[in-house]
Amino acid sequence: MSATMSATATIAVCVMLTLLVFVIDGWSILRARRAVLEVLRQDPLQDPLQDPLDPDVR
Amino acid sequence: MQPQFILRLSSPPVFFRVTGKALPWLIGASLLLGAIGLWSGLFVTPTDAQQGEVYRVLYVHVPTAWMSMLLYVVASFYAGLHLVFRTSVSAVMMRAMLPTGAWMTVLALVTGSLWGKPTWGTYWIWDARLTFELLLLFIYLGLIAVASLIDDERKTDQLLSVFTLVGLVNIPLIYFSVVFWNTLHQGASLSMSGGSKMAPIMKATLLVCVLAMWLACAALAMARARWQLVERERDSAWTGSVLA
Repeated sequence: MSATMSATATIAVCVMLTLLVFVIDGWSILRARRAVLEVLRQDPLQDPLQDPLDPDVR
Repeated sequence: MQPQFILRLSSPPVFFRVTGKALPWLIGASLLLGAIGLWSGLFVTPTDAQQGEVYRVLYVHVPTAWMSMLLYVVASFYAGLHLVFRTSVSAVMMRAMLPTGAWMTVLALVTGSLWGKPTWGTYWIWDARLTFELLLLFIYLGLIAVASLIDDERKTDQLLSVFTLVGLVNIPLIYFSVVFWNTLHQGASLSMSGGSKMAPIMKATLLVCVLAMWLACAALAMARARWQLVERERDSAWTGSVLA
């Protein structure tokens, strides 16, 4: 393999790795966002003292 | 920027709203600048007289290496703020910098070693700069572990702030390692004193790549901080508007 081809392959790997890292990091944020939204949807009552179904609150 | 506006940003709902508006702009600008930087780095800038084509790795390696250090400095800034003001926003911003900073450190080490093989003849050497950069990765991983292992977020924030500030001592060691010691790693690619010997087009391209990387990292950290903040403040009334 010529030096130019080898250099091109090295540069391509570096660029791809960088893009991959941004995709992985961005995806982990989207996953965290989805989890947080899920919790908010399942528990829409913000104040537990106002929850009539909570057995600890009489 | 008005000091009052900065103070208002420490309010979680204001932070959530302002960063929500800023994020699309940050992402758009980083994509645009990244595309310009890559195009210029790969197709416009001339071949280096000594290193040949492989020097183009620099357009990825230098921005990631700078970001690995800069994100740590920013995390330390928020750690200091948190120790003084104890706000949720400063805590989540400190925490949000860590994973992206760790990724940037991994990229700096990997792209550096891929460049090192054809240039130095080896992927790795226990050179001062490389060793301190590897130490930075371990510091990032240690802080991420501390942040995720302890359940009580408020207590962890204090501990994490102190540990982050202690680790800050490593940053000048990385940056000045090429000055303090005789190292295989070359000196600074760009310097504030204007001592750089790079061709203007190479320098301009590198600066564009650095700016694109900074905007992308800022966007990632900000996006992570927003959802960490919502999770932490889920019992507050303002989080109800998040679902709207």
